[in-house]
Amino acid sequence: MDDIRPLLDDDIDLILSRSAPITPLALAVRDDELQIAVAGARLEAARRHRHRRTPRVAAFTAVAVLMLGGAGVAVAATNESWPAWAASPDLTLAVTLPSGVVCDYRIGNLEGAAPDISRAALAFLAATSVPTAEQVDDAVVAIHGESLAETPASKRDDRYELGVIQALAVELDQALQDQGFDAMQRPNFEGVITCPEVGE
Amino acid sequence: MTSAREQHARRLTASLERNARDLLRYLERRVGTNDAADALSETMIAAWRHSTRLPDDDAEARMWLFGIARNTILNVSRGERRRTLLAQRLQQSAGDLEAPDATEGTEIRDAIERLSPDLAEIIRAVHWDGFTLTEVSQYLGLPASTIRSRYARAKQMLATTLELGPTTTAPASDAIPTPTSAITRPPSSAGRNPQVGLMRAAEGPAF
Repeated sequence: MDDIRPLLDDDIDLILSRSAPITPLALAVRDDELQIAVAGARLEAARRHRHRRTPRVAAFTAVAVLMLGGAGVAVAATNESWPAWAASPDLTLAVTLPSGVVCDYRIGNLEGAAPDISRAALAFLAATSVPTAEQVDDAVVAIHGESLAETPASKRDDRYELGVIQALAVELDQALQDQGFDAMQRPNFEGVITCPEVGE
Repeated sequence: MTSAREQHARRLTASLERNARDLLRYLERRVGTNDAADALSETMIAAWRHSTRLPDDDAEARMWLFGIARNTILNVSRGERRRTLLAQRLQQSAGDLEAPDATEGTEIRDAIERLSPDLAEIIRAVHWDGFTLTEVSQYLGLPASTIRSRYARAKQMLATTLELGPTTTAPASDAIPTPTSAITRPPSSAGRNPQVGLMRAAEGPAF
């Protein structure tokens, strides 16, 4: 007859401790990425709070489209080659234009700013998502003086396309200001917007 | 001059940076590798949303963060977790992760899973995460005496379930096991003698 001995505390402790699932992600993730996640979470919390409080974000910096890029925003066709950084951008968004065309936005190549503000900008990019249609409309009004509804149909996609960048710039400025940075000191970015040709 | 708000933000930043990896490990053990980055992201966002409630004491702040992590898991069931870019970035930064051996320890994990959720959480916290019973009582917001009796009960039930016979655990004992090499004790717990002494109010973490 098998003798079932009373289980000693040490036995069951060992068994339970050894049952802990392994944690490859926690082992592999880098410290600097965790730091970016902390800063990004702060921005995301502020963003969710702002969106709850004021559904419409006023756009007030009409020149932000140009400022955001520093080097500008390149609009590339799908068959053109991307700059090297675009292979691993800091932000990738799929944006649906008014016509229904879905464009791929890649933003990256941050440079020209102090490390702390660059890190804050990077955290913003890590936390941000596609601007709402209202935000983009505000941006279009700020740039062109008329809303998308007032824009001729033939120009809506073009205006929306860059309005997205403007809306992101406004959000970035706000995020940096919330953290006590001077938004004018932010790093230059580059952006690549890839849209399918009409009729594709 | 730094504003009070900014001072607060710096403290939370420091606390989150200090505990981020342990929080991620805690979450990964409960929701799995695929959902852990999202859960961490939501935990951090919740911490920022309630940053004014961050306790002054570092150890209490740490437990406050784990309380938020616990609530994040409870509030959002698996698969419903918000997919944030933040989490995506974190996940991608880790590169290609080796798939864990899903079979090792499965029987034991299943037995823990079959306990009531509150008992299972105590077992996981002590044996997987290396928390002391005091720390468990802090982040679950329950009296230490409750945690102690539940812990003893849970171990007894597990011993029975696993058909290993009764344990010799004395319910009145404050001692919890020294973690083996199979688990990593969070830094703040390392080398500490487990004791149940400090008490918190019998309500959940305040956030």
